[in-house]
Amino acid sequence: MVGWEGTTTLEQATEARIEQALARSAAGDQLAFAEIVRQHQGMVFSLAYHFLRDRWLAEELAQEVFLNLHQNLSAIKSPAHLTFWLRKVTAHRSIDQTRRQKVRPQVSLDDVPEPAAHHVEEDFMLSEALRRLVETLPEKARMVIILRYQEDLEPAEISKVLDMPVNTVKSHLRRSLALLRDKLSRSLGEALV
Amino acid sequence: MSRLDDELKIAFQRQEPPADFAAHVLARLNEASVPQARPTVWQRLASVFAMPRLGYAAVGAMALLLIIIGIALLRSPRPAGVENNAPQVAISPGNPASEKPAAGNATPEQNASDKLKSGQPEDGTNASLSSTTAGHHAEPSSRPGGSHRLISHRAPVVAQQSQPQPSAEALAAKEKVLFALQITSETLNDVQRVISDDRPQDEKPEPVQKR
Repeated sequence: MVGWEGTTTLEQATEARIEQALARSAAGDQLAFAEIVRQHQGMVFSLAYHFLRDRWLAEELAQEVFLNLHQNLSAIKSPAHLTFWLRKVTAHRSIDQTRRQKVRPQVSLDDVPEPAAHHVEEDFMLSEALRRLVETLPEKARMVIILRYQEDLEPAEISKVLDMPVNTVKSHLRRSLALLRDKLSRSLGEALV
Repeated sequence: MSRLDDELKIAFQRQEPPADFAAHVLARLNEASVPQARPTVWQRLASVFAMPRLGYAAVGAMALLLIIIGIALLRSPRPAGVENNAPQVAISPGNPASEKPAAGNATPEQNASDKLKSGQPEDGTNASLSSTTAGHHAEPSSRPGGSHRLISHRAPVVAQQSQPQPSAEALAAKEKVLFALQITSETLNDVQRVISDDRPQDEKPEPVQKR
């Protein structure tokens, strides 16, 4: 089974605590809602930050997502549903934010200059190079990569979050990975396979 | 699992927001939950007319000025063009109407209506009088020689009478109105200036609380 009903990755104890917090915050308990925020703020903020690459914007967006959650608490049925709902709203809001602002011009992955070899000597620099390359991907493909590697979601789960066919998700993943591998292999001189 | 997958997982690890993130969310939640009473239609309508005290004074002064102008216009003499026709006809040289001051005092329209009522045929006097107002519409056949001469002789008089000179009273009234209009426009300018000076202080929006 896929989707929010079967994608819970939380510990059982944490899940029970979140379930109680959901019930209490739906009844108006702000402390319970704060607990929900603390439990999920890392996921929401990271999704927005990795997509937008702007801490301030990501923080703003994450706050708005939680404010939206507070208005829709009555619709949340379970902790797994809460996680799914937060991922979905954050992903769509991040894409909308990029489309609205168009802060960074979209360039083709082929046009991105390859990172210099001395920049990727360390792992940190390699990670940064990867993030910069992913940043240049189209919006949907970028979010697919982020959901796949930050949240460790399967293509079927990603397709539910982003409302797109599974085959499209797989296609995005395949093409994006091939491009990233090609770019990094050429710049590093070694195969990242 | 390839090395690229591992690198991507490292690159896209979760990151924590600032420590006070939850507090900010709750603060924004409390801000949003404060009931902001939406102004009713009447309140919005009243706010349109909400003005500083000085604005009310200026509007009052302007209204008073408009009343004075209205009274002055009502008391001023009627347009000079209607009343000055008769004297000009009377003093024009060779005008037979000057021999009849009673007829000369009446307006041409009154004379024409009198003629219609009495049923008298037009004689030279009437023809000449009507020619001053109707010009070439007068019948030249009743007195061929004289009437032709008279009409051709009086043509400049008709042109002169069609553009009556305003009297001194009318000019004075016009000047008064122009002066009052000037004062009104200056007052309006002052009001606008005062309102625009007051507005930024009174209606300065509350700065949005940003983190």
